[in-house]
Amino acid sequence: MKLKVPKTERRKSVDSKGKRILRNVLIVAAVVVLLALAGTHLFKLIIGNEQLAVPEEAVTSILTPLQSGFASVVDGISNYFYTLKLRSRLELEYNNLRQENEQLVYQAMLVQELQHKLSAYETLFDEIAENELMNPLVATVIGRTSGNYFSVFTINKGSNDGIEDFMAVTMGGALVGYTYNVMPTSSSVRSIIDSEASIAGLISSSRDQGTVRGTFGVDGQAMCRMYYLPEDHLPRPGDLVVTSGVGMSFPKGIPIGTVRESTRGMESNKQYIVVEPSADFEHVEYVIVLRYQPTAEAVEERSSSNDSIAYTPLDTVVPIPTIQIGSDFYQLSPTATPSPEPSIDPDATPSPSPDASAEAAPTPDGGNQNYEYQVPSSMQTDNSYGFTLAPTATPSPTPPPLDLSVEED
Amino acid sequence: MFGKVIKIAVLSLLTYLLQATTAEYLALWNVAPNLALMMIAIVSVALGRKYTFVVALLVGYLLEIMIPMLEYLNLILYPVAAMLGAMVFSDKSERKLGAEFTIGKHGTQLNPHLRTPLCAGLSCLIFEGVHLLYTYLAGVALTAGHWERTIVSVVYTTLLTGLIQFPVRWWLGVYKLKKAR
Repeated sequence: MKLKVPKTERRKSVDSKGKRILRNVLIVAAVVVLLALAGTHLFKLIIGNEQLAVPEEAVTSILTPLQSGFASVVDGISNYFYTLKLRSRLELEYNNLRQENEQLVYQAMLVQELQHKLSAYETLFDEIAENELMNPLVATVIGRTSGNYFSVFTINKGSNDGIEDFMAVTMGGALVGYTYNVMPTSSSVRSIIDSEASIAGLISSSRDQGTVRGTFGVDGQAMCRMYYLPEDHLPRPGDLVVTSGVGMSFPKGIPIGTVRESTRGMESNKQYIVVEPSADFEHVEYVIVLRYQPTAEAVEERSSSNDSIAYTPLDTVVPIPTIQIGSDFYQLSPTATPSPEPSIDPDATPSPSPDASAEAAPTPDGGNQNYEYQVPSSMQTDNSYGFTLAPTATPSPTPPPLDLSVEED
Repeated sequence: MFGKVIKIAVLSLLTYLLQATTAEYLALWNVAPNLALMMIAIVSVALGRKYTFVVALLVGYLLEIMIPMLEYLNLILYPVAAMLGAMVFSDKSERKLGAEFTIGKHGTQLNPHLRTPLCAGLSCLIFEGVHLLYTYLAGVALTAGHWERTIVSVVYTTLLTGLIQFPVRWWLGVYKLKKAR
């Protein structure tokens, strides 16, 4: 029994069979053509007949521009990716270099900090070595007031380390202040520029003695003023002011600063000089506390001696600020300055009174020269003018010309 | 019908152009994959041996006349390597499958997506093997570097074939044909 196939199905079958045959014919034709081309090429290579190269040249001439275009596209894409790769590499390298740079900067900062510390330690070591008899102790500043009127800071040493009230605190061969409010593990230090500070000092060249006070609370300047100087002598700019060793248990000879300006003699009521402190109060990090204790002999000798400073204020003292250096402003109002009465009152200030503290604070130079403070050699510098001023210069309202009364070093 | 022929022609031309211009940019450890054999392997599994031979012969011929490395080598080696690969990995005919079934074998074939890279790998191995043999016969002592490059080339070509077979098979209409069936 035969199955009946619809005409359309039969036609489709015939069509697909025809297509298949045609496809096979095409494939065979392509293979034949390709084999012919390949054979031609082989024969050309074997025989060397140039005429056989014609089909090859035809294919090449068609293919070459096509390949050029394709290659340029591929090159463009490749270059694009290469650029991306290069850029990412550059970015990576840049980031690496940046990181490395940051590390180096950090290391450089660390080295700088260490160098600074080393330098500070060298200075401290110098100072300690020079003043071993003063029983020095290195302390680190751990806090400071940020006000505009007082200059007080805290150090990390206290009574457990042998520190007592009113001990001299130095830095870089210069007096910074004195201790007070001593706790077991910390102490406060009142700077010499603080208005509440009052220290007995003397002019190094003329040996004129007086009292040095800070002006920080008066005009905001990190300066000192020296009161109660003898009337017949006039210190001159550049003169060194040192501690006199009178009053508190201060060693003698600690540099306080240099005379910057002398106003005495201009008018009868201007009886102080301006002293520029030697210590750099803006960079106080490490200080030395001189745990100096005067001997009994020194105390005895001091009590029998008449050389001690009598903190008797001059009758004419009216501390009106003088011309401010670097400013043409003349501050004439006396209310802006501390009145002499409270500041010269021995009870109101930490400075010792002539009577009461004379017993408690012996002079350090009671016959013992070893107790005089030795300025470290690294800190021994001449005054800023590079010469020594005559100690007994004649009073004049303004500093005389520098080349008139100098003694060349 | 003509569409398929045109596709084959375009694919052959594209294969040659890719091999001639792009392969060097895909080099891994300075070993470029054999893009021509990859394409031929895809055609082998997707379309069968007749088309494989046509494509391999065309690509070989074009490479021979455009980038002649050694005389006759490309012209002969590409069709030979491709046909050897196709013999092993192209679709088996129904008659052959039936014959295998009668002698107790499974009578099935591997997944074409697996056969395609294997076919490329085999073709590439033959291609590289012939080159190594030629190098050895030319008096060059084979070192570990030669073997290393051969292995890298075969593995790289195989893996890359596994990746690019999908778009090429799709373009050849294999998936459409399968869906229709």
